Amino acid sequence: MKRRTESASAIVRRLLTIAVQDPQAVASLPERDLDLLLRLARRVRLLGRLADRLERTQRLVQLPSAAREQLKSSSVLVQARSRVARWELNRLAAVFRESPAMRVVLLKGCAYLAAGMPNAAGRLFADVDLLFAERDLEVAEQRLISRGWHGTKLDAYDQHYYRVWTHELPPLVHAEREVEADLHHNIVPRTGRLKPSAALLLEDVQTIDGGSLYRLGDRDVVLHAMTHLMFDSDMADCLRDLVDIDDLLRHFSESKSGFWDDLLDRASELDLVRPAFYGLHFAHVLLGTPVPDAILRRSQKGAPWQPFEWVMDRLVPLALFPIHPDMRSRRATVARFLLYVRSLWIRMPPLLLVRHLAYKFYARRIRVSPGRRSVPDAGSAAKG
Amino acid sequence: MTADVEPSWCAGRADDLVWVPFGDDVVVYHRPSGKTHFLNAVTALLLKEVLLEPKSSLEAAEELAARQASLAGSDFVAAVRASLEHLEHLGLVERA
Amino acid sequence: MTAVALSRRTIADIGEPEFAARLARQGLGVRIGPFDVKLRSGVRTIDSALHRLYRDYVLLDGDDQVFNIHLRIVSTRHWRRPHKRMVRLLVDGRAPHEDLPLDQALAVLEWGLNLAIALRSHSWLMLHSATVERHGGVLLLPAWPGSGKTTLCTALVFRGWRLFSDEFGLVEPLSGTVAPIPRPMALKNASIEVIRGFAPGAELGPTIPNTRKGTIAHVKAPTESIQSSSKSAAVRWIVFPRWSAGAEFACEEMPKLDAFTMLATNAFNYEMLGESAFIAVRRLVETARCFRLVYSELDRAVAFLNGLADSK
Repeated sequence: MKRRTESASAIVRRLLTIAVQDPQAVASLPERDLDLLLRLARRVRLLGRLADRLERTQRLVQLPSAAREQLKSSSVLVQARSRVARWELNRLAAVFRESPAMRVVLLKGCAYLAAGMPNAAGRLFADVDLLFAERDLEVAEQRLISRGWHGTKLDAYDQHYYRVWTHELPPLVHAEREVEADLHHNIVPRTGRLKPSAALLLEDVQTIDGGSLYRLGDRDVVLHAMTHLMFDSDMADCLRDLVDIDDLLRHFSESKSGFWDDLLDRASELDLVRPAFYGLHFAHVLLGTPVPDAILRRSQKGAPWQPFEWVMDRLVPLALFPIHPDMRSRRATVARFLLYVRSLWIRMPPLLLVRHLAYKFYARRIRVSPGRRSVPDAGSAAKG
Repeated sequence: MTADVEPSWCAGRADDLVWVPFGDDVVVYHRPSGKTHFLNAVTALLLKEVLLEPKSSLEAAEELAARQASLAGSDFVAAVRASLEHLEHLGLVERA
Repeated sequence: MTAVALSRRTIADIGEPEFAARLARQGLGVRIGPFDVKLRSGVRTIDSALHRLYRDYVLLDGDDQVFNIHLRIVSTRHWRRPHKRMVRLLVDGRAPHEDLPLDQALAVLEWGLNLAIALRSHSWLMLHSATVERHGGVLLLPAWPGSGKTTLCTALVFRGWRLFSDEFGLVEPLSGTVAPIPRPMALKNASIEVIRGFAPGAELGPTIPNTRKGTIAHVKAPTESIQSSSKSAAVRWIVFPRWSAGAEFACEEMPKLDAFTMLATNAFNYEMLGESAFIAVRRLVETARCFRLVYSELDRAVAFLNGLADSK
């Protein structure tokens, strides 16, 4: 069936929604659509997940070889990163084994991986995020530095910015490996507007497989994912993070009765009703998460002022879903800019924001900005 | 852990390593870390046989020396200790 | 991949105007070894050179297929000096590196293809190596600074060897066989004249000065190499070359352990492939003969390698 009037962003949403909601159906897509889908999925880091789902359902063999090769390549990359992640966790556990009183709580990707959650399969792992009690944070940093970790190459401004203005610790990296470890005292930035109680979070942590590492409680894992996406990112190409939320909601609601209400109870306790509203809303609307109507109604208590909600409904999909690689989209570019500004606004008090933007403006003009690299060799690019 | 207690080390699980001999030297692939290591004959022996049970650096050195029908002098023990610490750093052995 | 039928059209079958029009508009599909590539170009000055260098490759008509790589170059202006024209590489709509002067467009496209291959071909163990074939056996020439691998590779290709690649050894990890991806060979600086002398029949693209690698010129891959590009082969020889001005010729078989170390370090994605790379490299060095080669005269090196392949 030809869709001659389908806009570029509609095509993008349609194909990626199929890939997430019904991956087996990808095997029956016309080749032209499959070609585009592979490019889109790669952009939003969902190619590995697609490869994993197709392989499990034995659909991979049905695909043309050009598709199979790209999916296989993506699987290799995902498996390599997972192996790196597990080893990094192994090394971190060894460092903190000597002080069991200092609980090491894994957050996000490495928690999903270590705990074997459903969204871990096919996920492209990147950094390690760790949560510590505030009183343990400096000791933890010192301990890691004494065992071979060091700060990343941030310039003096960025180091200062991190420590003094965000009150966070800059990321650490081990001398021989390339995985960043971010140490946190809470699941939100210190300077942000949301203030969930770290003490409550730490009360609910659970061990992973009876080992020495911990993760947040089930409800907090979900709320963190929602808070991270909606209040600690600019959402650009972050569809994967919404897929995490969808997976986690389905997983926990299927295995625990009463989970939905528990989730909202906890959101109130932690003052995270706004992220909970957004998380449930967008997962439901964009990915079809089966959130019960009563829960959607209840979550409305955390909804923003109606006009804001209307604006977010228009902007968020344009940011989460990638821009069509061959067609520019002014609407998407504008939406992403607005959400970028929003992300700074919610992370920093106004004075800091002005100083930060002014610095970044001048930095781009007087030196090559970090985003612009010089021409790499194929070799260094493949290794890097 | 007090400073007085002499640490002992133990090799990791046998199937964590894939061994390929090249003459007297060995190349191993360590599955958990994904790293490839080049081991000389002594470190290979430590990993493959001597440290199947936890041993201190002195015990390991003595066992290695016995295989050569010689004695473990203090230099040798120090060298073995250094090897063990390096292997621990690589994640190939653990403190027991 | 389905076998290439002899009746498939090549780029030569469409004239240069049609070629340029496709590059400019909907994109041009071309099969390069195991990769189906969609190319778009907004730089008209290199249409002619591209048509010449790529005329023997199979043309892929239409959009109704999956491509391995979508690559595009566009011309832009320098953000601070608007009179200066630049070329930008786009892979799936994103620029992986900074813009470069427009007169380097052909080099940018070729490097761009290398980059795209290196970033997403992890179903293979990718060696940074020139690869050629003779009598059904593959010779790997792993790259090292100062190896002169591309010059040596080009010379061999004009003395009876089939070109697999001057840049990549694509090794299928389970079987150990290598897949050809014959492409224009990028010669640098003095090698350009050396090859003009060594192989007067070689077809060269334009000379591109002042690139970050010096002066570059591309040698068209021989037609027979392109036409045989679906035929893989097993590695029979691994030679680590080193060119050194005035050096005495020396070639010695090397210990397998050294070959293993050097090959593992040489591969782009050795660590990424984990255990399968370990096993594949082990099998390669055990089953192939491994040599170190030092040379200053191209003829001598070529004669030796020919002799190696021709002997039993």
